[in-house]
Amino acid sequence: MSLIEIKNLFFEYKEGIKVLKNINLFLSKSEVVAIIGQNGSGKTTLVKHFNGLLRPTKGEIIINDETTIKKSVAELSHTCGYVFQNPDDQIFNSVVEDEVAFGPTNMGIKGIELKVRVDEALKTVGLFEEKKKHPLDLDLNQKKLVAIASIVAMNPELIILDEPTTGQDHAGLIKVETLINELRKTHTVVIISHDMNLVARVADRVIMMCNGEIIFDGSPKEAFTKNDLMKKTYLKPPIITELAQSIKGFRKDILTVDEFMEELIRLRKNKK
Amino acid sequence: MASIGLSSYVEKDSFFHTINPLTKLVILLCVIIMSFTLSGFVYILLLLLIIIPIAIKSKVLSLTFKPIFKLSFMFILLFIIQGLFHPYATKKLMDLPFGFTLWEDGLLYAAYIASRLFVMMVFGYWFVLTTHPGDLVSSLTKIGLPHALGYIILTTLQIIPRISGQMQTIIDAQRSRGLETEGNLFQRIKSFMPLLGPLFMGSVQQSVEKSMALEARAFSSKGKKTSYRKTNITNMDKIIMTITIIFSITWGVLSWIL
Repeated sequence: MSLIEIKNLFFEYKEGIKVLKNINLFLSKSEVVAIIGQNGSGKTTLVKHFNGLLRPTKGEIIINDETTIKKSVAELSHTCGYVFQNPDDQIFNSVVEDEVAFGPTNMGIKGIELKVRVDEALKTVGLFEEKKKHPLDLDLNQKKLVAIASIVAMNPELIILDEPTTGQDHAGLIKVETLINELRKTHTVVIISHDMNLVARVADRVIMMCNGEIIFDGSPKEAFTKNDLMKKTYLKPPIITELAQSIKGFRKDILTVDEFMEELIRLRKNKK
Repeated sequence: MASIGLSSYVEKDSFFHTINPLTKLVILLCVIIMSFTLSGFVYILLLLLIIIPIAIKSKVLSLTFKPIFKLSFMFILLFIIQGLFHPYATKKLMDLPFGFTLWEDGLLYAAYIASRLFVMMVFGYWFVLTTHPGDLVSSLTKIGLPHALGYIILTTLQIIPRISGQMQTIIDAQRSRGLETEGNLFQRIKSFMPLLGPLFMGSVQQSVEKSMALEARAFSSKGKKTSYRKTNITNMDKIIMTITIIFSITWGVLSWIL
């Protein structure tokens, strides 16, 4: 089932600089898609088209078989939730649960449903205990989770996470990872990330961007073996993948330590 | 983005880029004083003949007149409003349909105001185009502007584009959560808090961090401070300043005699 379909999308800023060139993309329901590429490659510009924050110069975006040209950002936010990189850019309420309720109230949800949605969202991100706190009393990890919860509460079909792991400590990283695995059961998740370890562990599909074009679209295993493309976009595969690639006889598409160990055991058995 | 702002300095290799900012400030001040004291708008407009060769020599001719075009609507409005509704108008120029009257002294008054604004804007913008903010502050500090105040001027110039950029991010973030920022007045007022809250908090946080970063680089250490930018007043500067002042006085006196 297709959720989003992008046809021949071009985008340029006023100065005539082409930021996106001929993007064709198809996002299915319930998949985790990672968009990777160096800074300035057009990742954020692309996802800002999903909910109408940017409008294409040429081309079309179709969500659930409907074109988005005439829809406002507020309307599109019902299907496409976009979590911004810096939670401080959006938090303005003095209580966590009020902050989370902001989106749903904009959608006109009230009463018991509103309360249920807010509580569910906070439970999903693991901040239910913190719901009466002041957002400024939370640490960066938690503030980021509040931002995610405030989108989850709107229950969009697609959730876009822009750099979900920047500035997070290890505990934060693990939380984000578990959260993405939780969200994938019910939502399509798009993550923009420079964290290749995260991408290797959670993504079903990787989209690689370079100079406003999609240069690769496929599985993470394939993506990290395309050394020439990775070099072109100044990306480095996870260190465990690099290690495996440098050992003779090893499979080149290893993404996790577990896979590495399996491969090691397999090779040993073969030798014997 | 080259908008009409305070920091629209354009790097060029020209004579007027190298002279001392204070000299240019003297020229600007003389023009401002003249535009308020000359007896008629023709005398003021004649000052524009002077800016053209200066702007050509500074290699910023087309940019210098940009603010005029951007604000041309305002000038047109000025003539319409003053021409039709000048409060002390006595001389009638012509009758217009629907009972309106076009007043001669209203138009004259508008021309006077417009020429003043015109000249000040053109010279002011030329000054901004050719003067690096760093040079300006450093030369002002040399003649007694407190160091801290100089820093405030410099950071203010940087803050405006930064805050407007941040504001755009916040607007995008809140719109993504279904906030309507467009629409009727009530809707706009309602969207104020979600936009200003993060902006205010962010600014406070940043200024605290900025002040600590300053202290970490010995900002408030005592003793004489030096400047990286060279801003000496040369003989050329003195000559230009003297010519400017003498010209302004003569032009001012002439405008009243003739």
